[in-house]
Amino acid sequence: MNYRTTGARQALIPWLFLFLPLVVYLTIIAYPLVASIVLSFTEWSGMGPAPRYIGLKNYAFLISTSSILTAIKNNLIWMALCVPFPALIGFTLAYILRNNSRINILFRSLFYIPMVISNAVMAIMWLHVYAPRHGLIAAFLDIFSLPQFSKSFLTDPNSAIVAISIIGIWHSIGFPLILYLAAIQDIPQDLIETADLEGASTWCKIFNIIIPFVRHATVIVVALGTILAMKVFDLIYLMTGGYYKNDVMGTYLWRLAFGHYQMGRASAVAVIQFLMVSAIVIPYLKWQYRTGEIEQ
Amino acid sequence: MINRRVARVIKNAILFSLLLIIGTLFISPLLSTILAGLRTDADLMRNGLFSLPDPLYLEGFSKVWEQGDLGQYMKNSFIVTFFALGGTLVCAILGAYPLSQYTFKFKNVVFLIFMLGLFFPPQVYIVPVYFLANSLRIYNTYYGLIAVHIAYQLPFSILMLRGFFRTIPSSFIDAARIDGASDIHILLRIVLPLSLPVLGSLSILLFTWIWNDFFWTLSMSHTKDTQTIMIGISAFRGRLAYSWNSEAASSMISMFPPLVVFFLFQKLFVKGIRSGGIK
Repeated sequence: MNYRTTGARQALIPWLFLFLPLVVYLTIIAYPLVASIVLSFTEWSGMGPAPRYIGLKNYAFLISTSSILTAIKNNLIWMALCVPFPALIGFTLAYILRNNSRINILFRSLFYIPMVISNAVMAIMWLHVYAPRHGLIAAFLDIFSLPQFSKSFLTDPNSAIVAISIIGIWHSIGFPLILYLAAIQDIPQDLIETADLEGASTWCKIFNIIIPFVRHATVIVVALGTILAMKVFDLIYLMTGGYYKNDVMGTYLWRLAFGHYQMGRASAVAVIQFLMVSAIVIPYLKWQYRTGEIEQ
Repeated sequence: MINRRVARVIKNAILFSLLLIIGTLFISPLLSTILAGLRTDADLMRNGLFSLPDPLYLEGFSKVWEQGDLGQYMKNSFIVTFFALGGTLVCAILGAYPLSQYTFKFKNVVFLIFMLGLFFPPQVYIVPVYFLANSLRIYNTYYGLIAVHIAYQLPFSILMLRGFFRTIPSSFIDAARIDGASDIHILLRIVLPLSLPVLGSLSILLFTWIWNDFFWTLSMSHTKDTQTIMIGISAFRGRLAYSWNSEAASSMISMFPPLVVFFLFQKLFVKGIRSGGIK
């Protein structure tokens, strides 16, 4: 290992490798992230005169309207639906499909498919699922002679965010399914056999052996699921046609920036979102340190 | 004994039919889209969703291809995805290698800075990125789109590759160093050949994600010369007379490449999600 002590040239080598990725990343992600924070204290239309420092006025504006609260509320509804439900459904499916029989492998692929379908396509697909008269749900309701329950799920602001969250759940079941499958298949077989010999019921095995054993996967599913949930934008943008009541923070920011040319206010929304994500990420990173995912 | 076996067969049969029903319901949005792409709107209105196309109508595909100019959008998608994928791989290898095989000052700081990009939604920094692209004159060009894709995919790619590079036994690398191999030589001749499977997994994931992207295309381009197929199919609603068949057919065209890649390389895809999630 003496190659590391042969001088400054050697110390430079990792930085030579890092040069290109660091330049690309710092320019396009890190610098704009910092710039957003700075812009949030200014007034700027995006054109003409340079950004003008106005202190906390953008934040004061945001608090004075209810739009930001609506957006945060919708973000939280999305999160409350799109984190636990895929995890629960994914776990259940992983348990049922845990053996590597050919039929099980086929069923698994079925549940993975939505992961490779784009948001743009899902928006089109599900507009037709929710379409009031000719949609898939309306057709099912017709079969059971319940057409009176058919309604316009997407234009009603009370149901729109829930209806779109269901698409999010549908899209993301594959991720927990994959992680839980790996975790369940890692459980030592003799542990289950011993439980069987002692006459443990299926529920007992699930609660006392399997769920504790897959807790590592649960942390990852919940943490990454929450972080991903904060990124919701495309489906809301594509499916609600820009109605304030249905905004999440991402689409509200978009409207302020590229609809109203208020870059400062949009950046203030960005900072609020930034803080919310940090509140999730910091404990997760600490957990990663503790479990040794990030060393030293 | 026989009773027990019969009970098990019955239990399995029930479980199987239950799964079949749930699976069919689960995938029904996709199935109904595929069926709608294969039939005329009149047929659909007349016979409802739960019927087979009568007659089978395939001209919808050529119709949307021409009227929606999907050829141009598909070409843009292929160009952007191909170069962004290649660029991300190169940058991620260059970034993950020192972060896994070297000890140097600020190593963890650099790693954490990269990880920030994994966590924060792109909307948080889109405003400055938009103006940066404008001032660099790469707004609405292939270069701009490719560059943002590379930067955006870099954190996950580095995380995944770093996780794998760390598992390469250091004895391999030390042995090569004693033989006088240079750093770049070790990367190219030892690390990369060992990493082909993980590079494969990563490429499959990147292909799917970049191809399916909507947000970056929406923010970084505004004309047909550069917009990708995902914008192309979303723009349909406004441009053509409303037609379920057209929307379904264009959706099918746009999701064809990632679906083919998924079915061909499903194992690599699943492996990628697994290692990306855990490591």
